[in-house]
Amino acid sequence: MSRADLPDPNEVRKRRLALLARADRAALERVFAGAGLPDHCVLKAEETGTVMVEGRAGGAGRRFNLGEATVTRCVVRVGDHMGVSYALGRDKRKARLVAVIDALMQDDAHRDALEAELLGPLEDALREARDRASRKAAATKVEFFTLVRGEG
Amino acid sequence: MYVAVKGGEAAILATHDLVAEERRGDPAVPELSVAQLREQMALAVARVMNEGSLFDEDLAALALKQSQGDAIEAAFLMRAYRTTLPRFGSSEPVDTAAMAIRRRISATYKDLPGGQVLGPTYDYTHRLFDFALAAEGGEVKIAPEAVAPLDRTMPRVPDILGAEGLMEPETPPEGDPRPFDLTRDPVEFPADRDVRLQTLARGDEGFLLGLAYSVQRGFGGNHPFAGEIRMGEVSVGFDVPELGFSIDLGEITLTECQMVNQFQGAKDVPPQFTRGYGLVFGHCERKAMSMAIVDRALKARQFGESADYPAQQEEFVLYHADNVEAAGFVEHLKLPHYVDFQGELELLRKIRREQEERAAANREAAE
Amino acid sequence: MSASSAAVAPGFADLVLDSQAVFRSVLDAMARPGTILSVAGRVPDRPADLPEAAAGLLLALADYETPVRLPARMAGGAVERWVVFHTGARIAESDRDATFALLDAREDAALAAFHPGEDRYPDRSATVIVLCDALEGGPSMTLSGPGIETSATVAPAGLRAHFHDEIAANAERFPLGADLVFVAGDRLFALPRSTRIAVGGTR
Repeated sequence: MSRADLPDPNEVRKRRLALLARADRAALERVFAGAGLPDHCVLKAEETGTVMVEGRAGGAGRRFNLGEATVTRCVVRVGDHMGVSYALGRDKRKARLVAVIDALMQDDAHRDALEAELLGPLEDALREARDRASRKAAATKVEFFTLVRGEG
Repeated sequence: MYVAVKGGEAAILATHDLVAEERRGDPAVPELSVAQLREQMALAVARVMNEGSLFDEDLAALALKQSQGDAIEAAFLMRAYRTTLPRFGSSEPVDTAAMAIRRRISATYKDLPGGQVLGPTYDYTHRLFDFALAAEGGEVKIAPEAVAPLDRTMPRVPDILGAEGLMEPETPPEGDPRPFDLTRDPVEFPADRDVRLQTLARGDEGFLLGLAYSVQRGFGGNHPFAGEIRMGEVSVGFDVPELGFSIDLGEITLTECQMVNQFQGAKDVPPQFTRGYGLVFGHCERKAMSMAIVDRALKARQFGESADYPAQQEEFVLYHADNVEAAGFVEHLKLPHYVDFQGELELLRKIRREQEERAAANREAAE
Repeated sequence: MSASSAAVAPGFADLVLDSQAVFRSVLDAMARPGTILSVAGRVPDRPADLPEAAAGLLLALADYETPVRLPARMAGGAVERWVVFHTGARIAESDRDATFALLDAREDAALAAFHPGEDRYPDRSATVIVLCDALEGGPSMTLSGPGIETSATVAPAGLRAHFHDEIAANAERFPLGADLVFVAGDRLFALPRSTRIAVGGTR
């Protein structure tokens, strides 16, 4: 996920929805703190369901069903743009907010402002949190020394 | 067979109130919040998510609160809730090679690319009480950070052996078929690997631990090595029908265990190592290891091994691993069996009466 | 993608209540074969050539695990987009593959081509939603069997030749066979496979 301009329109959307799926609801609410949500039509009302999470035997082999995870989705239309939200968890308000933001960010009038105000900082914070967790794990990295063991 | 009985409504409602009071305990003690359970009982939360077969940390924490910490009751709540939810679809298979690793160890290779990362483990604690925890309001411990983060991705250990051809290959069957789903279709035997792995993933940790232990103690033919255990966060990809392409729904914590087992070879298989695989929600290492050992034991048929021991017998293992089902059947014995029992009682009285009559007749004949 | 998808009509206005209401209707219809029920007002926004009853049934019943079959005239069009968008179902690869099948009453597709279930799992059969001109006014069929006190009569209009015979033949396969729901506008009635059918009733 790079903030540089991406050529494939799906990649832009994928990056955006991946970041928004990981966002706190509070950060999303702040976007609309002044004027409230823009007018939008709900194509698919917020709904909580599940997605069956699949794994692969041995990590790379036959697919199997590991178990389900809760997922909440919402689809809206803002002007000519369809905004979609699918994210883990049961937060319906967040689903509505993400769908509206996804639609707004397809509009040239809003894209840059939302990138600067929301997505950029979200991406930075996520990268920082990931890096911190990784460096804490790295502090527990060991070198084992094999000692010669007696016969027995 | 149990029978329906009427009545007792008031008594049942009173049990609800009584259990609510018991659950709360002494009101002078502050009430637990769900967030506290989620954050501070994370390993119990992981167990409930696995056995409830639903990844949702908040729900699992609520389930633990509602069930007073009874893990099986909590799993039951998760299963019951799950059935009320629509399913949107299946995820793309999670890619554990791309895991954001927080723990990763191998008992087979000392030096391996990416290194041994102990992570948050109790393995090297002394199992001595920390009485400081009994006093609340202690300082918040901040773990140290290394200068550099871990490698972004680390190879899975069996794949290293696989590159040398010494490891049983693990590739998808022709066409990479959609897996069997035991929540949709009845399990049939012989069961394929996808059926077995799904059953084990939602199976009872204690049951699988006992079976795995039995394998190690000789009730099974395998000698497992922990090839690799890794724990961390993995993205969940989902093909969204409204978009026509796949997006990332967020991350879940997973623990994966790859057991490596000796195998002598057979007529058409050269001697090689064989695999056992465990994958579970959350940090749930003992379960992942047990699952991997039992997965390998259940491959007995595939490798032409005699399935003499319980852990190798798939009908036995798969039918008895589910603790919600097992608890239901054992605990249903509490339900009224009055008619059944009356029948047994009548029969017993009749047999005794007949026996006494025969004895009396024999006595008379002898006299 | 987004421009065309943004034109997709909304589904149920109230997801929970509307889907439960339609589900209840089809449940009642199956329990009382031949009884006409209405789902009026449950799906006000929908593709123009999709009757409200058919739209409601698909929204309430279809999901990603139930391949949907559409008449050839709807392939790739607004109905297909709408169904896939709202239900997540994929379009069936063949008539046999369909869990729910939308069938034009005049369409030249054999009823026997739809999945009749298996001996061990008769429930794995297809449910065929037949799009009729009207639910009354056609040649009549006399119904009897579970859910019908003595007999009932239905007379859907606009069925192609021999379709009545195929419906009767479908019932003969019980416990296998497809379950049928006849729809016109916002109204529907059901002919589950358990219903005995005599073609050319007394009326």
